[in-house]
Amino acid sequence: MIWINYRCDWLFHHVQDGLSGRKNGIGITMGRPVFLGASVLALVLLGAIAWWGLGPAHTSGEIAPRQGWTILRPPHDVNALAEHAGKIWAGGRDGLALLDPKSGAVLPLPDGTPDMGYVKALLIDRAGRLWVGHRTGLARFDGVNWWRIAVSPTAPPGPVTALVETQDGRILVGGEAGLAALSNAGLAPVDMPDGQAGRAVLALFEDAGARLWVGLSSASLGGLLVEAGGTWRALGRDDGLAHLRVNHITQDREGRIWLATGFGQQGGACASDRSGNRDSWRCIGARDGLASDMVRLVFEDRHGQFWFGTEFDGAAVVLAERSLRLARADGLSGFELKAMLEDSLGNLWLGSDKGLTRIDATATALFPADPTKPKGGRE
Amino acid sequence: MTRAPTLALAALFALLLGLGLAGIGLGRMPLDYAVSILALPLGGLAAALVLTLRRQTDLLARWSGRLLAGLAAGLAATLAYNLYRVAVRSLFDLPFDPFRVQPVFGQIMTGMPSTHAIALAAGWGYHLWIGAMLGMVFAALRPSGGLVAGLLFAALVQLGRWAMYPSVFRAGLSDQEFFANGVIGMLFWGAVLGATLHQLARTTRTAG
Repeated sequence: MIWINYRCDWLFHHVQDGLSGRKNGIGITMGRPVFLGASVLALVLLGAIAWWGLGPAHTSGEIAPRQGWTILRPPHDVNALAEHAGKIWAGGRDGLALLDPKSGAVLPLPDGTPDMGYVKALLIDRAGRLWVGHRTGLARFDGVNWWRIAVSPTAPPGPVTALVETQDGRILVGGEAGLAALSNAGLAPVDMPDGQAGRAVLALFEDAGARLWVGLSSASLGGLLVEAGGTWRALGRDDGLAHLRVNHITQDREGRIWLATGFGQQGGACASDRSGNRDSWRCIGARDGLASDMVRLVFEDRHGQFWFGTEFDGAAVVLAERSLRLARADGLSGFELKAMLEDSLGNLWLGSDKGLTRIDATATALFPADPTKPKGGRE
Repeated sequence: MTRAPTLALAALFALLLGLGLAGIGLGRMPLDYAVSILALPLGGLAAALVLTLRRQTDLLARWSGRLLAGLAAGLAATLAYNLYRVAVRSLFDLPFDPFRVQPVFGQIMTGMPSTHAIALAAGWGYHLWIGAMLGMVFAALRPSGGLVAGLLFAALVQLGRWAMYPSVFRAGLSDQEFFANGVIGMLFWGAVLGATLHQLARTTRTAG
């Protein structure tokens, strides 16, 4: 106790006297010349960083992307992509953008398009209507007219993050306040397993076997919910998931369910076996050739190439045992790959936090037939 | 030496302790957020207890005044930084949302939707608390403040952040928003912090 008192005394006196510049001393005491020198050094260092950062910031338009890759801005931020009535729809922070699939040119939005911020989900239903999920509600476009419904910030779904149409024709809406189903009476909460009601939803998917997969947002309380035949089951780390934040869910052509999981620097892409067995997961990450452990999105294109998007590290494309990392220098509009779409012409669209990349259909195969090397990039 | 600064600071620290512990108890707040809310109040209250037990009330009052000045300067700098972000977005037509981070903080901390009033309050409260906390740390290191000292402190804070999250730094290098906010904006924050604290310290000295 005496020792602690002594150290406290030493600390308080030296901190108050030394660092205020009133007395030179030892330890953490800092005199004026040292302080000024450190200031100059830090400012020079920051200036160097600023200059280093300034270059790319002002030459971003001069990056020579891969052949057939075009960066498009606006839109400046893309969370979701869909093809509807022969046009590409991109949703993001600033609302909707409409693009020509051949040229990538931005087209005027249809008359009556409502103002929508933070569009996170786009869906084309079986009737061919476009659904838009955004921060304050849900909108539907039938090609002529818009229909809208507002969401409450407190009741499910809250700000909309995900949409899915089930095989029985229901439109399910996931959001920051939980899961809801749309009916003629409006949005009604979907019964979830005990303890999961009201949890923020990030991803929704219904597989070929009519099982509903719900990816939750929380890195500590999230995980994956699976509903089959009215029975829910919750999956977490103990079931083999790399992370409890499930950012995206999809199914590949072989029937495997893929989960993009992670937050910050942690996570992984987890795949079920070919039967979509929810008890058997294999997760991959940076050591397996991905751009980082955190995975934002998984997408399989028509060549069988798997695209794995990240938040800070660009993307990786994997085909069989080969992988290729992609960054802004390759033609990505930003480092965070948040949405992908392959349109009916075969063009690929990559939405990021900094815009959109259009890859012409002729340039989408990144690996040559000869499997020795990919076409450019870093393997 | 008046006890008002000590009592005000103790009340604030106790409030933050209560909020932080409630957040952990409800099981919603991630630990890293809780730690950044609890660390300084816990340390401050422990130090105050030691000084009180040792009957060093003058030293306690001096430190309380110093930290309160840092808190005020930190808040002023953080508010100025928010105004700067709005201004730079308008002036240079940069495509970013200057107030995106606060609702996201709130959603992560409370588990509630980002548009919910409680989440918004928590997110803004956290944002302002981080600014105030850094202001107090700066005031503890350099009670007299000053423009250069403020710039240096902001530079060190940002360099430390980038060192912890190199991916964020690497991704930001090709980004105008990163340069405008992460470099120039943070230096502006440091300049306001240093100048405000210097002014407060001078006023206090004059009054004393």
